[in-house]
Amino acid sequence: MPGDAWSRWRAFAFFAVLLVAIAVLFAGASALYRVPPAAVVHDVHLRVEGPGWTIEYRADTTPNSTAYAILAEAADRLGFVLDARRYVAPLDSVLVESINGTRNGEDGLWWLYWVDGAYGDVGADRKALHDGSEALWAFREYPPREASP
Amino acid sequence: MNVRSFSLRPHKRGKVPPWKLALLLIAAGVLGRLVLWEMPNVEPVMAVALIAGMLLGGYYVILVPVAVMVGTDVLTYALGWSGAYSPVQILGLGAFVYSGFVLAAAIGQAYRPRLLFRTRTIAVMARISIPATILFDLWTAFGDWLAISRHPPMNWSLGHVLEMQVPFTLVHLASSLIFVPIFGTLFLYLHTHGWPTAGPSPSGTDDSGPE
Repeated sequence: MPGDAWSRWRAFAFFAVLLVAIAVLFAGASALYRVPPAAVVHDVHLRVEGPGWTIEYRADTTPNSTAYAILAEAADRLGFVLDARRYVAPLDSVLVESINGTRNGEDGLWWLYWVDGAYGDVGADRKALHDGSEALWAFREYPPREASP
Repeated sequence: MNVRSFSLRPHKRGKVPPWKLALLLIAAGVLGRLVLWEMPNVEPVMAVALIAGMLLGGYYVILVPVAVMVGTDVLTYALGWSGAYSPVQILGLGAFVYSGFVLAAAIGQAYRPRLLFRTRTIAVMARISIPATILFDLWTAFGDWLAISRHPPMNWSLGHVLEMQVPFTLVHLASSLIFVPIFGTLFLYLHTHGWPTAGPSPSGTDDSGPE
């Protein structure tokens, strides 16, 4: 095979392998950082603790079975404003920026969440709720000092 | 491929003066990091650091990645993009992130291929980026655990932090495999051929040894 043709073939093969590797890595990341399967949950309680105000919400039965979805449902039903930013795929997730007019960064405090007493370890739209779950969104400093609010 | 010991003296210069190449690398790193801010773990700084180590070496191993990070960290903190981290936490994590990128640049210097404008050279650069990215992620995940997540309320074990790191590292590897060949091709061309001109281009340089 002439040298130029061999060089072109090697370049083509290299970029083909590269593209496949990149696609596999992105697919693997998406598979590992998955959205919890859709589920209907019962008797879920949500508490939102802002600076000087509190919102309580209870859902007897809801398909909104993540820490973020139940907050969005409460915002819709109770009529408070929720503002969130979505990060881009493949590790797409939401960051809640403002609840009921209280925005991240005010007085050095941030919207953080707990589910069943455990501090969130994934994006709020990836954190599954179960029957009887207690979700808390609290405006605290990061990282929060107390073990469980 | 030989492993080279670290020296503060830059490599033999290519067709473009090292300081100009360093400025271009820093500009590419800053611009790329800002543009990709909302794509977690997709970033060009790893590529810029590796290429600085491979093409420039010496004190540029420290200067280029630190300049990119300082420039973007100061700017994003002033713009309020840096999220919930306090300045103290940023300094704590920053020590791991900055040193991680310097480590990547040092790996680039230690394992740099012969600098010919060939597919093989770009392939070697991409191959080296894989262990460099994994080492960086292990190091910074350890830093996150040490500075933040082993404390209340997380109380996470190092194993849990590393487990959560896996999808992010896969994306970071993909990011390196995107940016190292792109930036590697551009900057290797500049290093070996100089600025594009209308006339015939000279052949590549082989400056695999220190000056």
